[in-house]
Amino acid sequence: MKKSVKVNDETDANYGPSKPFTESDRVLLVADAQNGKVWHTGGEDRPILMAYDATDSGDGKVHLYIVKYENLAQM
Amino acid sequence: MLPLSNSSAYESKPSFDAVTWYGSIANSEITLYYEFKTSSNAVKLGKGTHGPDGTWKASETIVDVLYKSDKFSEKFNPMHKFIYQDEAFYLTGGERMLNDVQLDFSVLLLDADMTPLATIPMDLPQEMNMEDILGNHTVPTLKRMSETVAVSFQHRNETETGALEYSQFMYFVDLQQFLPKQRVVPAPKAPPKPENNSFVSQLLQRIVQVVQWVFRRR
Repeated sequence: MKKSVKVNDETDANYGPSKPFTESDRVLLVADAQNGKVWHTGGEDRPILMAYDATDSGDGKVHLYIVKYENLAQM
Repeated sequence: MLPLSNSSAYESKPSFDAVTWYGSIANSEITLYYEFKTSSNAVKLGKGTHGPDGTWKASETIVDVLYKSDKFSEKFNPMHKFIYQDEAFYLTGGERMLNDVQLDFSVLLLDADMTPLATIPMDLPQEMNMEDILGNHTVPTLKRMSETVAVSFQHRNETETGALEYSQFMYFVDLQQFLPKQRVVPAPKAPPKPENNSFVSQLLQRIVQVVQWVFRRR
């Protein structure tokens, strides 16, 4: 599961209705995971929760997981 | 990792329903909806709550029955909860067969009990030559920012070669045109002009009355 980021495009020539965003950054959050959903406990400097599912190597079944990031920068 | 409940074959597609945050996951109350498969291979929507004491309590909902009665597949995509006029609603992606042949994905509006209320049509930009595609929309989210609502959804397209393409759309809806309009109160009627009761006008009025009296007597 990866996080793609594209921000602050005000001076970018790509900005516009017929010009798609370009990917500027992609970060691996959790390997072999999917269906991520986040919950913000506050602003960008507050913890962010992420729920996702992934296969547990122990029993080979797909489980639910919850992880916490201290803030948006850490995520 | 959360433990599987009720001998589930799997638990997946989690959605946050509510969080009461006390600084750490261990002592916070976190409620999730998720899809799971029972030991008898039925696919259900589960609801689980991680309590402040660290316990995980999960239960099975009857949403699959509600879906089935409206001819939607028992597949539970992530739910997006929002509040409108103090009532909870959910947006989610639903699947159903059209004409018993074509699988269609649509954006579903559910009430607080997750009963399907409506499938929501999403207009695609005409310049993408997709205007003939009515369905195949899913993964909706909604966010209100002041008087604007941002609605995001995904479009799933299968090419002639069978490859799947996904496009993400975001619409901004200005609520001003949907919110109740400010009432236009008609301006109060102007008061009648005061009669001119000056001495001159009274004298003229008296003269006119005298003349009329004289002519009537003739």
